[in-house]
Amino acid sequence: MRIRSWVAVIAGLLLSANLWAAMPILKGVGGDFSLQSSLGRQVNLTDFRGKVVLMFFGYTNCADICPTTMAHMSQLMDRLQPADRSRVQVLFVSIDSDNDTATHLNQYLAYFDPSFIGLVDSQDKIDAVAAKYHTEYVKLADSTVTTVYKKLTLAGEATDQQGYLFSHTAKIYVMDISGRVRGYFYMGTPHAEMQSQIEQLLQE
Amino acid sequence: MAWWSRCAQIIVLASAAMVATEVPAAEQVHHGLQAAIYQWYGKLDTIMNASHHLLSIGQPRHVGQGDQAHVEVNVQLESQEWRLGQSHYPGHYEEQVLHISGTLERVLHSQSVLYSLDDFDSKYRPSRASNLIKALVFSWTHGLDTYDESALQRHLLVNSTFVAAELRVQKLIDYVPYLRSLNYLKNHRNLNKLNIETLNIEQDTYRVTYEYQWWAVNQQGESELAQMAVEMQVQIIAGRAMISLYKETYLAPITDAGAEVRC
Repeated sequence: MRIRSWVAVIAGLLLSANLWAAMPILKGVGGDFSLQSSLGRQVNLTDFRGKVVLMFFGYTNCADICPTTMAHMSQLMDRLQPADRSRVQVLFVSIDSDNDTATHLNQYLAYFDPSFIGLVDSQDKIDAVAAKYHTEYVKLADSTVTTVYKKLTLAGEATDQQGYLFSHTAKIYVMDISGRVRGYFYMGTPHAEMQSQIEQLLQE
Repeated sequence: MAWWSRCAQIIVLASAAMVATEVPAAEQVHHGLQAAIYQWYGKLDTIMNASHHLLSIGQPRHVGQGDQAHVEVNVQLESQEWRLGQSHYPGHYEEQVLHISGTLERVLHSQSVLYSLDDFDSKYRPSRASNLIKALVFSWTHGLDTYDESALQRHLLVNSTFVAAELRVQKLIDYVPYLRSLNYLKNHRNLNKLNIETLNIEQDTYRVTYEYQWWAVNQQGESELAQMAVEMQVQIIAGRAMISLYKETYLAPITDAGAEVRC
């Protein structure tokens, strides 16, 4: 019996070690913004007060981390209880103002989850929001990139175009119900951890 | 319910509470104490024309009571004495106990407890500027920790430039009231990435950069975290490092190394 009791105590400790610390409020990162959206209207961050916002900077021609991250968030949404799910908003901010349009973003995001909202606007406005969030991106467009781009592109498509890629920050900004940045997820963050953190934020 | 089951439940709840309010892993350093220690050795460097490179600073021990109350700290250091025309210098390894005032802000005297002469020679490595600049950085940080505006003001040269990260703070005189207005229940700064670069050896001027992670608990009991970058221009005058330019900016705090990966 004594051994069993110690096993219970140790199991308790191990279980508690798996709980994630509350996310701190990150200072000097984030802030309100207003951008055109895939909904066909201007969207402000303040529109989502009362919701946890998960925001990602990417572009629809991205071949790897953007779709992977959006799929990761789509799977996360599927895990959430309906009541929580309705209080979580995913925002995808396009860093590719030259090519992404509201319609294009709408189609792209619907593939992952129809509730996801895309934001696209002039490069100046996107740059200003990116600066607020300390997100970084740089467009790469040279012969090497074009060669890689054509390999990744489906046969017969865009063969005459110069290819381009963005090197960009790949974090998911987590904002609480008051619009404050509370930390970051990424495509490697386990769903259980994301779910637990979101549930904690929704209870605040 | 069996006692062990109840015990396990209590431990789980207590641990969960601890995790939820856990301070980011950083040793709590008393910046005023660090400043006093580095100023002590920077002053010795100046007076003795020697160098004292601190290898480690131990935890402070409070000893004595009443008027005799003071603090003792063990330090390990490597010293060299400069001599004109000499190219190679023997190093001296020492462990000393520093006796420090109860307020932790002034070294009263030192006592050597271990001494060993190195069995090799090396080039002379000066330490005066770095010790005095570290004293300045720690003292400045202590001033921010304790909202001591007059102490901060003493570190600024006349006509110095001050740029805070917060746009609403235009001058140093606005900075301490701003910090106070945050009404933090507790807060701590953890310094790292200190870099000292000589600007002009004759004028004894330096460019100093460092970062600090600033952790705090606000009135609502929420943890706040900021990552700050500091750039200073410093001049050493009469055995003290003084600031001619201070610029502080926000960086994005790093909370998960995985999220820092770029595509």
